[in-house]
Amino acid sequence: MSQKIVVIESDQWLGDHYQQVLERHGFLVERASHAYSAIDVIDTTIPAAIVLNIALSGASGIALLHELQTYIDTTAIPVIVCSNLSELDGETLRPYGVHRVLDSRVMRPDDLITAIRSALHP
Amino acid sequence: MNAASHGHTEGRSAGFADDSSLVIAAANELSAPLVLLRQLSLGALQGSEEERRLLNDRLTLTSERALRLVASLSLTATNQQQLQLEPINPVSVCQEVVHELMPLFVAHGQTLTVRPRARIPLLVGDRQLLRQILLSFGDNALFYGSSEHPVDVSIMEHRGKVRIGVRDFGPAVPTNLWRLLDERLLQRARLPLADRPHTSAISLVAAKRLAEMMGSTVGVTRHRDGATFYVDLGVSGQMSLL
Repeated sequence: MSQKIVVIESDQWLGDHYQQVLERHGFLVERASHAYSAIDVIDTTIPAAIVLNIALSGASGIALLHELQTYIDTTAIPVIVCSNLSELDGETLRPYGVHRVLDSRVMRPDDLITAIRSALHP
Repeated sequence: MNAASHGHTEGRSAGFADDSSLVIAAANELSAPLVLLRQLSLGALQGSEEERRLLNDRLTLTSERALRLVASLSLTATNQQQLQLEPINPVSVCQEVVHELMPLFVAHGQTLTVRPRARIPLLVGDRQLLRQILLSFGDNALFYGSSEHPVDVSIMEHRGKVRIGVRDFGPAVPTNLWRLLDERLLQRARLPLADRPHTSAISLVAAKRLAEMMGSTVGVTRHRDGATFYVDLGVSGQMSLL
């Protein structure tokens, strides 16, 4: 059975791209365009992993990470952050449940798949 | 004609940020479309012919949007003597802008319309600068319309000026928007507007500068369900041909 991934990306076309990449590798994708609407999607989907663009979601992206850590059913969901903010690093965000930070300026489609598989099968 | 800056509706306490802070902000903001272009181009290596055609269209529209931002920033460095202040038919400028932006709006399932009032006088301004201001406002309104409420370019006479506004239906904006952006620029703080992640703050800063170069002003009117970004320009003394 295909695993569900929630993609939170405010840029519609970048979100489409991530969705296409994930679906090509057999994942089922649900989308949210910002962190606030993502809560509902995550609650109903309970995904295997979350792909989050913090750069575009701004402070609300961090608020979402906090929120996910607050509830027992969401705290274990691994989050892959795709960001073009150079100051973000995995160690800083690890306490927020972030499995990996991908730099969207240099990442390739396969990097996203590798990061998700690594999160799902550590 | 003297194109010296008039006072802005929000006041000018913050002044202009220095060039380096503008460069930093511009670099930060331009990285978003560049990231998108890169990811889309990587995606274009795979997929069906139809998917590749769609990606190709998106690549074109994204690059055009980024280039408009670059053009705005470049024009802020225009020498005052290079300005060509002339009588301009505002309706024709707005129609040009709508024509240029329409493919991008259509690609996002949006619509952009022009709604001129009757008997609009000619205005005085630099056509290129005015176009760039309106393109910036239009680009920023892209995600803030719907089929019931299309983004609307309006032209009206307002207190002896010609006001051209771009009405959207997005989240609320602060009334002191430009002052806030200038202050953030000076502090080299991040510019994006929390409630409007699709708004290019740097293009608004550039629009304000371009308007002031023409001796005109920009502003924003808050509505219950959105905002109108506008530019006010002087009425031409020439007889209107409209």
